[in-house]
Amino acid sequence: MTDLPPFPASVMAGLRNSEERLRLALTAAAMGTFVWRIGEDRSELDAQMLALLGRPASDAIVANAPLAALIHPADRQRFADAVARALAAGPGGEVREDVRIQLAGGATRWLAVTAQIYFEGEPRRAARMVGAAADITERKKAEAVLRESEERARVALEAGRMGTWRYDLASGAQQWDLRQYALLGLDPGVKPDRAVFLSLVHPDDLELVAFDAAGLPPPGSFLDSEFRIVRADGETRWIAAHALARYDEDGKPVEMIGVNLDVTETKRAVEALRDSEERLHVLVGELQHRTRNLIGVIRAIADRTLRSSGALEDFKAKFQERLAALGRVQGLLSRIKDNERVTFDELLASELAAQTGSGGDRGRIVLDGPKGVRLRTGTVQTFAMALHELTTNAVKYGAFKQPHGRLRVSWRCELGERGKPWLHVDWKESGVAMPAERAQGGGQGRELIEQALPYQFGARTCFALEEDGVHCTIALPISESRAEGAGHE
Amino acid sequence: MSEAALRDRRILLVEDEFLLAQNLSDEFQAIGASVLGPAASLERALALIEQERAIDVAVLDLNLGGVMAYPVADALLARHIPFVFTTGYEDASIRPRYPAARTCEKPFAFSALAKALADALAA
Repeated sequence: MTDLPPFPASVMAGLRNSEERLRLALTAAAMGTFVWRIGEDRSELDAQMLALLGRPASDAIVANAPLAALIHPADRQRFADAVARALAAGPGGEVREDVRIQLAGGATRWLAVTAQIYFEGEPRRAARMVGAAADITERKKAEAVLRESEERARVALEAGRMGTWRYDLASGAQQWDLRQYALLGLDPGVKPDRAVFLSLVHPDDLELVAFDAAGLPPPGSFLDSEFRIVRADGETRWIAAHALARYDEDGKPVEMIGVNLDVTETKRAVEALRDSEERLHVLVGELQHRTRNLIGVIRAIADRTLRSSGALEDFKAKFQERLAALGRVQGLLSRIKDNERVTFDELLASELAAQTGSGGDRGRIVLDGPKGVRLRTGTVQTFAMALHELTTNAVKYGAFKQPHGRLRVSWRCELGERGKPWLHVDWKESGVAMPAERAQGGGQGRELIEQALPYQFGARTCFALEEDGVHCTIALPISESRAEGAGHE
Repeated sequence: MSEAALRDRRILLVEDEFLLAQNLSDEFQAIGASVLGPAASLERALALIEQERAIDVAVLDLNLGGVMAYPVADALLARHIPFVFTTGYEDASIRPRYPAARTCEKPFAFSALAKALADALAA
């Protein structure tokens, strides 16, 4: 100040006046001021500035290095660059930066710093930087909170694939965000318009998206709807919409704002679940039907076994065997799923294995036919019982009973009447010395083969006692369905 | 006695399970009724209704090899022949179609079926 010429008293008084007013304003705004003497490596800080920096009065005059050290390391370079730019800008160069100050104890404070460079001398050189700083920590916090909440809202809308829209009720003008365009499958260049939106809504769902002044949701509640849109590429998508109306102070509705979200996947999952529930329902009905019929079948088998049995012991043995055979076929039936069928080879193998085991009898058997012949599910039980009776007879009297007995089962598929596939089975026992008279055996088997199969399935069968063993042929319609993934047969 | 009411009656038997059909035939014959059929399929049952001049009452299995026996029921109704459904499960579609239908749920005792048939004849 010593190099300045003296001012007249009136000027000095005016200056004092104006400085007092400035001081008052700065105090009211909690602003501190500083002057940096650029050539001298020192700054002068006022009391308010010292308070903002959390420094003692002894720092009222401070060198550059300790002052710069107060700035948060992350902001230090940015502030230095801003000062350098202001210096380079020449007269009028300004600094406007928000920086963090490190307070004792690790806390930080945000300061908004505004400063100006003053030039002096000839040639002009930067003499000092005069500035003011205000505490903006609270504002920064509020901004951060707002930013976070905006970010959260954005993430929520993004993650939920939600589009947002606004509909001015007076003018009819609309606004859509980019996700709303994406949702509708529209180019963002298209002008948002209610008619454009309605043109995409599935014709059957138009009434679901209609609303009129009387139907607007009251303040604070949502208007919810679910409808389909058909995009330009032909894809149908399900949209869930939640909208609310905004009212002015007089209670007059001003606008609708809302979010739309794509719920196609959820809808599809729900539909799939409903389908599967329906299938299950059908299956349970089918199972019930089968079980209840089965009880009648068991009763009939018991009656017949009783009639053909001499003693109770005899009945017990035969009945248990027949129940076991029925049980095996239920096992096969219960394991098949939607598109699966019991195949002839597994049915035959199951019955032969149950009665002949894995012992020496296996050498007497020749099986000759394709694997994987799919039986009609409805025919499996009776067919299995017929095979059971044939096998039982072979074990008790025929191919498996006599030392030279042999069994050959061959089968093939053919297209029969009306192009339907049929299975032809040839069961031929040989090397069997036939008894002159068979007191028993074959009774129930014959009945099943000669009567039950033709009666229930229109099968064509033949059962003959030939010179060296039983010869039985069975032809019956089989499943027309194909195994999944199977090619042409 | 419901079984007496069935004596000398001509009973159409529609049942696809051979053993059940045989058993019922035997039972009917034992009480002096005559059995028409049995029929295991829609086609056979409809043909019998067409051919037979006198059918007093019918036993109709609701599920014939996976096919619903409704066409047979309709043909019987058209000829005013009383009948009793035998079913393996409670099918919700029976009631709306045939509000007056009598049903006998499987498995049933023969006496229960005989009573249902006698009631159908008396109605």
